[in-house]
Amino acid sequence: MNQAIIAASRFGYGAGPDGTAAIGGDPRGWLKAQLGRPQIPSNFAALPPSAELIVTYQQLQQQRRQAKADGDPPPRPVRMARLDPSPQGADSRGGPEEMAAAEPAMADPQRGQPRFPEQKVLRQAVLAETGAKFDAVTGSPTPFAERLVSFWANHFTVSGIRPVVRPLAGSFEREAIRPHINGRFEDMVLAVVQHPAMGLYLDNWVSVGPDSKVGLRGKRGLNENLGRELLELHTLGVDGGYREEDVRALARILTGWSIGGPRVGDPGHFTFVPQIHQPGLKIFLGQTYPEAGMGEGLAAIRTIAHHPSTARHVARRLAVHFIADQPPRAAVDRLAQVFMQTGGDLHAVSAALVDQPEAWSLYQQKIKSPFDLVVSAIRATGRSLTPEQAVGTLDRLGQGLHMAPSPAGWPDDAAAWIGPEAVLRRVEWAQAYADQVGNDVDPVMLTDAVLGDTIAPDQRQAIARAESRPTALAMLFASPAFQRR
Amino acid sequence: MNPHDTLPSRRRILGTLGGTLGLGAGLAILGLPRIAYAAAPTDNRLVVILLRGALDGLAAVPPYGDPRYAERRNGLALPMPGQPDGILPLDHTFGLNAALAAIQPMWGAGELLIVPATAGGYHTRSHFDAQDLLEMGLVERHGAPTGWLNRALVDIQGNDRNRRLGLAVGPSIPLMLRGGVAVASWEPPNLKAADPTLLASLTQMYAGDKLFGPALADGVKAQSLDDEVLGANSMGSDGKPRFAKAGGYGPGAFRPMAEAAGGLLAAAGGPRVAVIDMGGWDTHVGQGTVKGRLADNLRGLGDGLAQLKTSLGPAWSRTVVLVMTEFGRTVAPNGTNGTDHGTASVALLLGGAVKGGRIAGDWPGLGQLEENRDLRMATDLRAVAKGVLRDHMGVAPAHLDSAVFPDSAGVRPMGGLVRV
Repeated sequence: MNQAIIAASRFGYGAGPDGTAAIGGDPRGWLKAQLGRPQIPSNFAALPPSAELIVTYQQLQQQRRQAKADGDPPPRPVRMARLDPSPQGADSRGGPEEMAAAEPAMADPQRGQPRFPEQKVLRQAVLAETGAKFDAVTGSPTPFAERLVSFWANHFTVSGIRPVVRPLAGSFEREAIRPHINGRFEDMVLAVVQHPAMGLYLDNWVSVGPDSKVGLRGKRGLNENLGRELLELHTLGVDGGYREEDVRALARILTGWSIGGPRVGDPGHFTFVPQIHQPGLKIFLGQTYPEAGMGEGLAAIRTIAHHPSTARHVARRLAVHFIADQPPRAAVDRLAQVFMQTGGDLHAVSAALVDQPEAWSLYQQKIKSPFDLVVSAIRATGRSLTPEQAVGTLDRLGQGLHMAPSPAGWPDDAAAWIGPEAVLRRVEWAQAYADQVGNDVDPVMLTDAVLGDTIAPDQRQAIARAESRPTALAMLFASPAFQRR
Repeated sequence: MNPHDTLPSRRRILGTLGGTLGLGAGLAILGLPRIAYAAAPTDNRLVVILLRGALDGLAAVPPYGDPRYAERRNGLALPMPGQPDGILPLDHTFGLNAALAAIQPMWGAGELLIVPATAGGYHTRSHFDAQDLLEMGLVERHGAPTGWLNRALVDIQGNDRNRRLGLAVGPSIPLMLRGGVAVASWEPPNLKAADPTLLASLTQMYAGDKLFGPALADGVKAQSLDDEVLGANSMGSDGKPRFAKAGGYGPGAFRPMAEAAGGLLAAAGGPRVAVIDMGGWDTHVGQGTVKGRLADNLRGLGDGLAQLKTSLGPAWSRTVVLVMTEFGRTVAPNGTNGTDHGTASVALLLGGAVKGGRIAGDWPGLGQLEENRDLRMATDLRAVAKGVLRDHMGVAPAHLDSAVFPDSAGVRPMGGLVRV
């Protein structure tokens, strides 16, 4: 089979209308060259950083509260998520219970009319992020790098299914994931754990050491959520050899890793708050951590980021994503070995992925997720979607951007995506999109450009014989050869 | 002792015969042409509702009469019966969270059975591991990932292999329903239905593909049944989609799913076993007592269950709904007025076929806690599921012990859960 087509589809988002002209005669070299380049698309410059979103939100909320205090009638009953993360602020204006209780009222910024000015700002942020991400992947000259960004963002899922996190999921990907895809795994873990979006999503920003200054007041205490998922999902893996005590120890170590607010630290940024850090000695994975404030967390993250179980867990997840739902053991072993030998150098690990013979020989074992299916169809036709179209399409196909159902992220196997209902939805979407653009393309030429000899002759023939151009294009997008990679 | 435990019911005899001779043959021998003529081997319905994320059972069904309740639950203790938003008392020990008011009438009608202190028999506090094990019907991972309900369908369907008796409601098929028996799935439609000629061409194109071929065939078949039962494109009389809100997020998403499941299960030629997922139960922070995320979710659950009864119509009398979750949550609030991952939660059985209005199984009390933090397990969820499968769906006990819940002979089916 055509190696350039495989390179484009397996490691990227598929070929464009010009086929594989840009790839040239060395598909492996083309993939590896993408790992050395900076990966910040130009359209990201206009997007606001997380801290700005958080601060803007706080200010607008503050103004509305002030207006209410001055006697102006509020537009609706006040049930808003608080985004004032300082523990002092939390104490003086209601605890985290009030915040979480109010969460659903913040609503999905995509749906319904915004109730408050801050919601309008947040909705704009979500649309802008979605549009920028979509443009980045559909138009990227470095699609392998973009796939890696999406892979790692899913590995370290921050899901907007918790409304308070929704506007920050995009900036999380830009700030904590994207800069590190070719760097060290340890740096990515640290950036993730220190990002306000993860702090909010897995509750660590309000986790209070029971014996800390704030904890001793007795109102607040420990939250294990981040400690557990960091071990189970992000690093060692569920069978990685840690125990319940380690989950709790890590949670204690990470107390104080919070977010700055109006009264503490740098507003909207990661801030270590010593007043909520659990003091004293901790034992984590058999090692003793003497009291060292924020240093304990830095040391613990370094340990788990370089752990052999982590190497194996990460290697397996990469192999499942890029090679096969049940990846060959040899490939997982080799990737884990490279991870260990290079101290978690993700540039080296990604390059090793390209070198795995199974990544080429087991072609068409993987099924595209809805996001990848839509992006590859848009890429194939050389078009783009408006942010509103992108959001609507992904919602309907069951994979809203940054809306994974749980911290485990989106599933990565065929069984999860290809049920009777899901296949129909994909066909319906293929037809709807082909109806819009199908009259402007030659479906047979496009089939040859993006699939080459990776589609069986009889299937190519079926496309050629379709009753109309749009029907033919719908068949191309719905064909197993296009949906598999 | 319950007489129903010892007397084999007619259904169990049929089930046993069905298992050995093939169900059609068994029914013909017994001269029951009406049932034999019916498309499905059973007319009973089973709905499993999986609450993903670990339901705080002590908040849903508070043991307000337990002497340690208020002290152990601390800030999460609910207002006592009679107070504003107070617990709705069921007996002297247990009550319902006020947010579950929609199902309270079922208790009075004998259609709601509570099984407190339930857990899956496995030891993990990982959601993903626990959900997998709960759905696979195992206490530790081994073998291919297939679901216990799919394996039960092998026995329930008997020789009727062409009929899709299982139904997954939602965007994907949960592990509990995955396996060798083909099942139907339904999800709220929000795209224009595909052109039949395109579907015909694709059916041909997919013929050689083991994944896409069967999935499309099943999808097309299921869609025609859905259209017949729910109306083409599921449009209401106002011209708007009937299930517009379904498929979204949050507590309100459950009710339309329950409505569709009820409609499909009620149809003469429809499925008999359905699974509905509902998420949002992982309440680590500020879960709230009478207001908040948990209360909203419980209200969504209760409303959906009431809707399920309405949509099932007369078929409700032949229905058992099993509501369960992967594990419970800590008894005491954590430091952020939420609860962390625990051990035992609660299971609910609802339906006209349930022998309800009572509490089943033991109550370990809040005195001694598991690892000094969790409610201890009194009843294994497999015992509940086995009791329902045996007495309501006619699954042979030997099949239950070996195939449906492998190596589970030591977990006896809970008897007397249903009106037989």
